[in-house]
Amino acid sequence: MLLTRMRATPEGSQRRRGRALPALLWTAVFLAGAAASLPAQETPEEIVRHVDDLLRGESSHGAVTMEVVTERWTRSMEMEMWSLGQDYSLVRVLSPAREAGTATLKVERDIWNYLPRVDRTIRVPGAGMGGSWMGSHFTYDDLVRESSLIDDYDVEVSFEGTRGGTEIWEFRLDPLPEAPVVWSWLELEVRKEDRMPLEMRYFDERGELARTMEFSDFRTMGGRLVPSILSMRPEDQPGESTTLRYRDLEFDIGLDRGFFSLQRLRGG
Amino acid sequence: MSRRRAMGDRGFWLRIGWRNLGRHRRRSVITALALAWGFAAVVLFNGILEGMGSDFIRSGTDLMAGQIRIQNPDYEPEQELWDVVGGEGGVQVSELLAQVRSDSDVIGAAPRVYGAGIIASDSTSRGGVFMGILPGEEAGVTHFLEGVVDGSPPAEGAYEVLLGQELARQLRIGVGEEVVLVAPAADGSLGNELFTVSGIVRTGIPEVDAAQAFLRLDDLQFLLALGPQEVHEVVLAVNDPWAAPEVSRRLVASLSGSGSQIQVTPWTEFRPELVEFAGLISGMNWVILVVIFLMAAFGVANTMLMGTFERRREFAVVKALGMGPGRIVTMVVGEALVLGLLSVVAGALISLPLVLWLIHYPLDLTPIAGEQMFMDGLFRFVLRVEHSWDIPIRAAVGLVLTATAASVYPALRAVRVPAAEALAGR
Repeated sequence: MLLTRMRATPEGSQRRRGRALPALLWTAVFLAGAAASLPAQETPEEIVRHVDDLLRGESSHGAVTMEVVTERWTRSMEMEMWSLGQDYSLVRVLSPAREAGTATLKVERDIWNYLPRVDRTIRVPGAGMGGSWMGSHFTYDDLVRESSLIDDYDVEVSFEGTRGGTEIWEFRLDPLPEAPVVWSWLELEVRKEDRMPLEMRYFDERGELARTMEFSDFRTMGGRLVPSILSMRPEDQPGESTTLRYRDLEFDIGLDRGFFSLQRLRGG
Repeated sequence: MSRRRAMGDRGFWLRIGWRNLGRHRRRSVITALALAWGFAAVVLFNGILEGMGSDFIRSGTDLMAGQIRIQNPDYEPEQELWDVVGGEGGVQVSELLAQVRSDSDVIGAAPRVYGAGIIASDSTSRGGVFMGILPGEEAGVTHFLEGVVDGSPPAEGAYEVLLGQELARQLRIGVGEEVVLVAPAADGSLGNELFTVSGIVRTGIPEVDAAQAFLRLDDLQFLLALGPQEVHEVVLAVNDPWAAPEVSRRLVASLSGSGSQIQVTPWTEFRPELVEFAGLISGMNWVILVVIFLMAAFGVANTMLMGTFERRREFAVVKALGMGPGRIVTMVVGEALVLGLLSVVAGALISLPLVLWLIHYPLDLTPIAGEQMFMDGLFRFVLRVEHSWDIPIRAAVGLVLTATAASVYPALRAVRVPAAEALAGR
């Protein structure tokens, strides 16, 4: 661009070229410098994308314990789960025995449950999507709308520095206008040292904190460092929580869409 | 008989009034008939409006809601499964029912359990609201089971379910077929059971017909992992809907021994819009009363004015003979009073058969007007008069007062008749 503009002024350009050249050099040096610093200093989007992909991978398979604590009862379930991208997942309950075999299949926007007790496969209807999934603090909607942080949100750094003795970034994620998101905005805290997520805060339409997801116990599983404990605390039910503990995780195991079938849901 | 005594006697003035009316019989009869018709119209319209208001309240409470409900104070608005009547562990339901039924104004009591989840047929599934009932008890409180259009309410020990009509249509399912009911249970597990459709019901409340499934109380308790003593609601019907707040207060006192986790609420509190509606009807009644009696007042004033004008010479004579203004006023007002009393009697004779007829044979306008959903009640346009002494008494007193008041001006005119000029024929 600089070059074309200089050619556009042929008369008297000889004298100017002398000055223009160092300017061009300057720009080149500056650009090179900026480029060189990129790997070290990621954009906010890249960090958030990293966090987003962390527990998902292209495909994944794992064993997880879900512990639900409510005012009334506490229960723990062992589950096995498979996923492919954001759109396909299958979760099967291994224990307790009363519910063993109960499974949930998510294919894009649809969710099916398999209920071994009555041996039926049931598609969760629109009106049932607000219901609790397996007695947890997650709703079916949460599973379906498990949206992409990068595709659905506008990311900006809202805080960078030390909090609680740890160097962190805090990102504010504002939903894009068309995104199928129920939250007003999210706040994500990421540890600088290893880009591990620490906490995600969800704010409702009134701008109040609705729930907090805490990430902890960072371990290497399936060849990557991941938070092995995810704990969700709803703000409107103090003292209650749903905690997921990954006991085993493997990534990029070559699952395809065909794996996520109703037949597989039934345990076939 | 002294003159003073005779003239102080009220009966004397009424007799004079009666005689004066008789002097122009046709005019008196026509005026009395106009007033009588006004009286009859007020009684009839007010009765019909009261009947409509009472129907609205009944249809808004009797269809499903009940007139009094007993719940755990924490149950609304979250409707958590574990907020059962009586708090943790529940109550002896049969004892509670017996206790509330011992109140003479309570004519029915039915326990209920609620849950929400998914109803699935072989082909499709829908979100649904589950209501566990005892159909026999429910019929003593509410009417929605009368809307069963196919099959029957769920039978005991058969794992049966009665589905709302629209819900059954959406599930593409009929009587005798199977559905799966899935619901998060009180212990955190996912309750799921197979049920047979025992019947289809049409309540007329769209949200009920499109989403509600009725089960036996114990079947739903099992699905939701609730014990047999754990119910979410006991609904009551009382003799007179307007007695509900009073009965509620009595029940609060008598149930206080059953623990603090019991709340008794009359329909006037959980359906306040119905109270507002009743207030609106009462307001309309007053408007009708005032309009009709204003018309009556002008009629009476006109008649009496003419009467006094015609009798100017007569008034002049009595004045000349020494009758004081107070007595002249009494004479004219007494005439109006007699006219008013006559009109009330005639009005009662006109309205009584009509009112009695509408009380015993309500005029069903449903074929013309159809059925309307109004405030969650199915309202049928039936002209039915509410049996009440209040309205005719109010109307009668209003009429007599109006007639009397309307005669005050003519009476004052009579007092002001200049005796000498009137006697001279000027």
